[in-house]
Amino acid sequence: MKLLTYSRDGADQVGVLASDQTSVIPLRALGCPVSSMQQLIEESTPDSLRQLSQAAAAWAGETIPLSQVGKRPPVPLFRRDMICIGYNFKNHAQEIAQLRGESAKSAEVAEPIYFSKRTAYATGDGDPIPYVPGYAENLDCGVEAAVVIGKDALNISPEEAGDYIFGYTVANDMCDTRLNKVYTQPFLGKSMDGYMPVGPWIVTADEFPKDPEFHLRLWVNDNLRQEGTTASLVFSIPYIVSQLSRNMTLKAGTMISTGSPANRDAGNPEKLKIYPGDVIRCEIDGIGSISNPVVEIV
Amino acid sequence: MKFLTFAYRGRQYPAVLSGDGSRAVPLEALGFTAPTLEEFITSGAVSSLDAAKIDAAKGFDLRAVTLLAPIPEPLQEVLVMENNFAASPEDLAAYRQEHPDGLPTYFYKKASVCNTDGAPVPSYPGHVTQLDYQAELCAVIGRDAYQVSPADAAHYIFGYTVINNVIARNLTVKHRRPYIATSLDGFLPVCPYIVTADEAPSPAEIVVRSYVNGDLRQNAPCSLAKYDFAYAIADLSRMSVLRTGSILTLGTPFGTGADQQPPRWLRPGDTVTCEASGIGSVTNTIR
Repeated sequence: MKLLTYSRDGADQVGVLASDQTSVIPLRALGCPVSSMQQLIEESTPDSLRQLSQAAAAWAGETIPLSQVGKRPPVPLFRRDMICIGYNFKNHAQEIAQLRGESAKSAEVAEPIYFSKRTAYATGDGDPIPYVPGYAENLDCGVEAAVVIGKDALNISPEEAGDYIFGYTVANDMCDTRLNKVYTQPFLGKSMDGYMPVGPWIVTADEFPKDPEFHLRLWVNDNLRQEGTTASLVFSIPYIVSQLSRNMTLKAGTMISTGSPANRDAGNPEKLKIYPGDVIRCEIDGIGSISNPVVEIV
Repeated sequence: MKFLTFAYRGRQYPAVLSGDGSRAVPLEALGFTAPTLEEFITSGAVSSLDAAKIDAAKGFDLRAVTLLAPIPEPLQEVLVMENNFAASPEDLAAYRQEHPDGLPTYFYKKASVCNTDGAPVPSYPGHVTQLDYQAELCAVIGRDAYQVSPADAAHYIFGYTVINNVIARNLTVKHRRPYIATSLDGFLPVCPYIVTADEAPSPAEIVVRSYVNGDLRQNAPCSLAKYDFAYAIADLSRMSVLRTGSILTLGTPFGTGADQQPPRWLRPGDTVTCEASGIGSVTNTIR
């Protein structure tokens, strides 16, 4: 089941993508009285989600064409952490280390590198990614599979991790490489408004195996720039969820973005440069895709 | 004014302290419907509160209630400035001279589970080997800040509080970043009060101290901070909205366990107090 937030008559609503894939069934029509995706994540159970999915599949009433609603990020007003993992694709880690003039050895990680991005007002499909002349003009992007935690997770094993996952969505871990460098920690350069597009919806975990293999692709305009599968993650999704939950409660609604693959044109910085007017599209098979234009702002 | 959240018979009440400090007056007794202090701050209603109204209203005896963190479940994480204190005025002058284009180092500390004054801090044996304390003054953002200049930044601060930014230094090494190291459950003890900006001393005049088992470890005026709140609010709001209710810390002064020669890590049974002059304190025992 694909769950999305959309805006209609000026208000955010939650719905299920209809089987035609081009329209939405409001949750309210299905007898589910939640007012936000965060609330749905917190209050739903695998059983209630199964019932919702069955009700949506059997729905014969009206649906609202996506063309008549506003696109919104799945969780518009983000109240939980957006946890990211650095260096989780070996080839991308080597690329970054090389760019920074670090040794190849520094790209080898014994344990995951976790950090958190600021995403107070979330960015969704179609929203602009700011390019700021003189400030943020060294943009980098990365397609990542993001895990949405479905219930508070504390000290869970990798084997149990799947039971705590609500679903998956597509994320684009944007950053400005100059800001990352000058601020030492990858925080401000990754936390500007628009720098973590997520969407277009959340696909519930029951549509995938417990440790799914996602095929990721990222295009800048028509140029395929990244391609990879989560099968080659250095640290798997169950490992990450389990390790993060060790003595640290992952609250329902927390998102964990699991890392991006290397750029195909690694080593050719000119070719990798991103300019205003470019459109960045991230796609994961079985989930969907998000496209975001790079827009110059002052 | 001093704002707080307390628990009484299974319910949480956002409240304000009476002038004599003896009673917690629930905001609902003053006609405000916001269910949390965070929502009260967001509503902007603080401007309609005055001391006479608070003192005339019915409140709870402080001794009869359980004080929680003022914002028990903060909006997202706590924004921390790392390595932000110079050891002395001379060091600060040297830093400014040597790093004219220097910038703060920010990172996020998880805040979804706040710890309270008097509650234990877990030591997590087998996971944590270098447990350390960090007293830090915090500013609570009072309204959404976007592209705010340093000169205007003070208008965006609702008030101040103090935290113990507990850190497991071995986990910073293990994961190369401080996120997990500072974010384990119980690692965010917060002073029970937020003192509104109009009543708090100017941040540069506030002295931050910490004690371990009564032994003074950190003792520094916030004038030793390399970057102040105004700088950080302007810097962080340049390209993103710093949302109402966000908590920004000034970083910690010299004197943590890691600064001792040799380093001295916290052990079960140790009691740590972190305080900020004119604001308050938070005390916890390591379990």
